[in-house]
Amino acid sequence: MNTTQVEPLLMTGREAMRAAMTEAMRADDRVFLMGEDVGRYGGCFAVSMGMLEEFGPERIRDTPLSESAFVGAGIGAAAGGMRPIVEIMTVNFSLLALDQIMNTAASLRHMSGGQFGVPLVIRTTTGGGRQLAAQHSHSLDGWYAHIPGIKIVAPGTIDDFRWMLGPALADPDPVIIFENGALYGASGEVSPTDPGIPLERAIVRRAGTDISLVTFGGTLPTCLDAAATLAERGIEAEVVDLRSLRPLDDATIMDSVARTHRAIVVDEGWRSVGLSGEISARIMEQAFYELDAPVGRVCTAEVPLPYAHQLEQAALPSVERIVDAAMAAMDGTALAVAS
Amino acid sequence: MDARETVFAAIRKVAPDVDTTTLPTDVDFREEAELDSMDFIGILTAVHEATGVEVPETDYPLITTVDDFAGYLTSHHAA
Amino acid sequence: MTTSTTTAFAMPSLGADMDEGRIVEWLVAPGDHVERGQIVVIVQTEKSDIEVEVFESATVDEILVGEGELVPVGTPIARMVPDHPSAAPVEESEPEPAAAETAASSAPAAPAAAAGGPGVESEAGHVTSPVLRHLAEELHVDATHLHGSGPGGRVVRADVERAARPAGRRITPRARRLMVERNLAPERFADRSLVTGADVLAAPAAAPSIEPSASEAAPEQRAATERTRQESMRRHIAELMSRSWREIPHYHLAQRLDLSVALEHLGAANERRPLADRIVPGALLLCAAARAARKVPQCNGWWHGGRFEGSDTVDLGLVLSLRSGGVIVPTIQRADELSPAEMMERMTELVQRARQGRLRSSHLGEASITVTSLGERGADEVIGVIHPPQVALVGFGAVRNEVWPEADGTGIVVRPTVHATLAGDHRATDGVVGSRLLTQMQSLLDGALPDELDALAGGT
Repeated sequence: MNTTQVEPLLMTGREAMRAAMTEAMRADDRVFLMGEDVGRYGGCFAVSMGMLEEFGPERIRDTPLSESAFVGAGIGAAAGGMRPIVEIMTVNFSLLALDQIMNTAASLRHMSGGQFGVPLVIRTTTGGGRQLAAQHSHSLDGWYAHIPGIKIVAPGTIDDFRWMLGPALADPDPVIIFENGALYGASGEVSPTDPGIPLERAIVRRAGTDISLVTFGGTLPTCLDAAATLAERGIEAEVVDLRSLRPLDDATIMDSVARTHRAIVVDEGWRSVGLSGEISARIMEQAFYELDAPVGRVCTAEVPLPYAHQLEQAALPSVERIVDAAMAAMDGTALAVAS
Repeated sequence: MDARETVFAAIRKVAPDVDTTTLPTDVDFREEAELDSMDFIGILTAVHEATGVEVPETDYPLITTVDDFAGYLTSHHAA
Repeated sequence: MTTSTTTAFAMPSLGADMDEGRIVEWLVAPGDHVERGQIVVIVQTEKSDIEVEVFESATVDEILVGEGELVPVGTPIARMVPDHPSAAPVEESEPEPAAAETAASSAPAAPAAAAGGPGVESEAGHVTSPVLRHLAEELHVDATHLHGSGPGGRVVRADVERAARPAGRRITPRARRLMVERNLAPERFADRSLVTGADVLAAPAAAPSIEPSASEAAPEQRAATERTRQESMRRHIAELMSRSWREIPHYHLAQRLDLSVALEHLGAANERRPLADRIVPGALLLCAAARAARKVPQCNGWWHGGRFEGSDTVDLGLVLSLRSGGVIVPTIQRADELSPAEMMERMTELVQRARQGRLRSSHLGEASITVTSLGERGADEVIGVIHPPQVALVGFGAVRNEVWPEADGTGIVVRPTVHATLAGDHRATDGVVGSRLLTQMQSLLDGALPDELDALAGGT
C-alpha cells in the first residue's frame, strides 16, 4: 500500500472494522468471515456490508441460528489451518457457545499438549444503552476474561477498531474482540497505516496528575467526558484505556497509579465478582504504597438492564457517577454504593 | 533611686514593649499597660529585688497608679 | 430473663474487643424509676468511661454489682422491674433523636444486650425504615453493610450518618511510607483528618526549632524570627479554628463560679509565702479545670476514627496571648496532679518561655483538653471553640465581683466571681456530662483546692 499522505482518516466504527476485515481477507486466503446475517444482510450492525459482493459466499458465510454449531465449526476450521473470523451477533448469544469457547477453543492447545491450537478470532457486539432490555444488553467481557487460554480485547477508539483485528488474526490462540455497539456509529480518527500497537498494551488516552480513571470499550468516551468535567473543578484525571482485558497490562496501570496515587475503575459490567474487582485487587497488590485513597469502582447497577430509557441510563455508568467517585477519592474515601 | 523610676524599670523589665516615657502616672497602670496578674507579680518581684520592699496582697489597692506605687515605696523604704 | 416481674440488666458490650467492664458509678439506686434512654450507670472500659442507658422504662429493683467491681460482659449488674413486662417493646428503627444521640455519643457500638424485655429479633444491619433507607441512599451509604447500634443490632439514624462521615484521621498507605522514609512521626499531622502523601511531602523535614539557635542573634533578627514564628502559629490556629467550626458540632454551657472561698484561702496562703512564690487566681482555675477533667473523663481526650478516645492523663492546653499579639498554646502535662504551687510554677515558666520564644517542643505536645482565659481585663465570658481533635474547651472570663443571692434567699451578697464555660463536642458528650465538669470545678474550688492551699507550707 503506497501512502504518500499521512493525514488521519475519519471513519465510523463499523467502517473501520469493515476496512480491517477487508484488508485481512485480501491479504490472506485463509481468512474468512462466518456468522448470522453477515452475508446477504450485510451484518446485523452493517459491519460487513458489501463484503459478500467482494469475497463471495465461500468466504462470507451466513450461518444457521446456532451459535454452538458455527462457533464449533469455526474452532474446527482454525484447528485445521484456517484463520476464521466468527461473528457472534451479540455477546448475549455467545452464552449458547460458551461450552465451545471455554472447553474447546480455550483448552485445546493445553489438552493436546501443544500439538495444535485454535487461531480463531471471535468478534461480538457488547454493551447496553440502546434499550435492548435485559437479555440483549450484557457486558460479559469480565466473565470471559476469567478464562485461561484465550485473549480478550476491547477496542475503545475507532483507531483500535481499525487496527486491532490484524494482530488478533495473527495470534495463534483464540482472541475475542468485544465491540461496544455504541461505537459502531461513532466517528473518529484512524491512522492510515498500522501504528503497530501490541494487542496487550493499555494506553493512556488523557494524561493527568490527580487520579487515574481505568476503563475500556464503551465507557472510554464516558471517562473522557468525566475527565473534562473534573478538569473544570481543578482535578486533572488520567484516563487509561485498557484495550486488552486478558491479559491486563499491569505495568501501564501501575505506572499511572504511581503518578496519580488514586484510581477509579469504570466497567460496564456488574460490580460484584467482576473485572473491576480484579483490577482493584491488582492495584492493591502492586501499588498499595502509592495510594492516597481506596480504589473506587463505577459499574452498572446490579439489575438486569431495564428497557425504559431513563432507567437504563440510570443503571449504566455515567459521567455523574464517575465524577462523584473521583471526588470521593480526592477526599480519601470510596463511595460505598451498591452499584 | 527615684521611686517612680524604679517602678518604670520594673515595668520595662516585665513588659519591654511598654513605653514608660509616655505612661500616665495617675491612672491604673495595670489597665493602661495591659498587665495581667503574672506580669504584676513579676513587677513586684523586680521592685522587691531593687528596693527590698515586699508588697503584701492586701496592699495591692494602695499601688494602683505609678504615683501611688512610688509613694508606697518611699514610705516603706523609709520604714 | 429471670422472674416474671424482674429482668436482668447485664454488663453491656460497648466495643468489639470489650470483654469486661468496671462499674465506675451507679447513677440510680433501688427504688428509682428510670425512663427509657436514661443513663443509669457509668462503665469503665479500656478506652474510656461510657455512660450506659436503659432501653425500657423500669424501676430499679436491686444493684447486683457495686462500684469499682470488674465483671465480664453479660454479667447481670442490676435487676429492673419493667413498666411493661408483657409487651415486647416495639422498637422503631429510628428511635427519638435524644436516645439515638446518647447511644451514638456514649458508645459507638452500643450495648447489644441491653435491659430489654424479650429479645427483639431483628436482622442486624438491615435498614427497615423507609426514612433511613432514603437517607442512606442520599448519603451514598451502602445500607447492606451498616452496623446497627440500636436495640438488637438495628440500624438507627446515627449509624447511617456515621457511615456517611469520613472516619477521623486517616493516613494513606503512601503517606505512611513517606513518613517512614522522611522520619516524620504521625503526630506531626495530628490536626488533619486525612493525611496524604502530598501532606507528608509538604511538611518540613525537621521539627521547627523553637529554641533560638544562637543566643547572640541580633535583637532585630530575634524579633523577626519571633514574628515569623508567631505568624505561622497564628496561621496554624486560624486553620485549626476554621476546621473546628466546620467539623465539630459544638454545644456550649456556662456557669458562674463563686470564688469567695477559694480566694480567701489563696490570700491566706500567699501571706505565708514569699513574693516570688505567690499564687495567682488563674493558677487555681487551671487546677480546677484539670481536676474536673479528671473527674469527667469523657471530656478529656480526642475524637478519632469516629469515636472518643480518652486520654490517660490530663494534659492541659493553655491558650496564651502574647504581648506582641501572637497566640500560643503550650501544654501542661498531668495538670490534674499539680498542686496550686506547682501549677503556678509551670504557668510562670511557660509564660516566660513563650514570651521569649523559648518554648520547648515538649511544651507543645498534644493536649487532651484546653483552657482559655481572658485575663483580668477581659470580657465576662468566653464562648470557646474546641481545638480538634480534643472534645472540650474550658473558658474563664475575668474575675469580677458579682451579686449572688444569700444562701437562705433573704438578701444579696457580693462575691468574687468568674464565668466558666465549656465548649463540648456533641459527638463525644452531651450537656449532662458537660455540666458535670462545670459543677465539679465549683466543688473543687470550694473544697479540695482550699484544703490544699491551707496545707501549703510557706514557700513552694
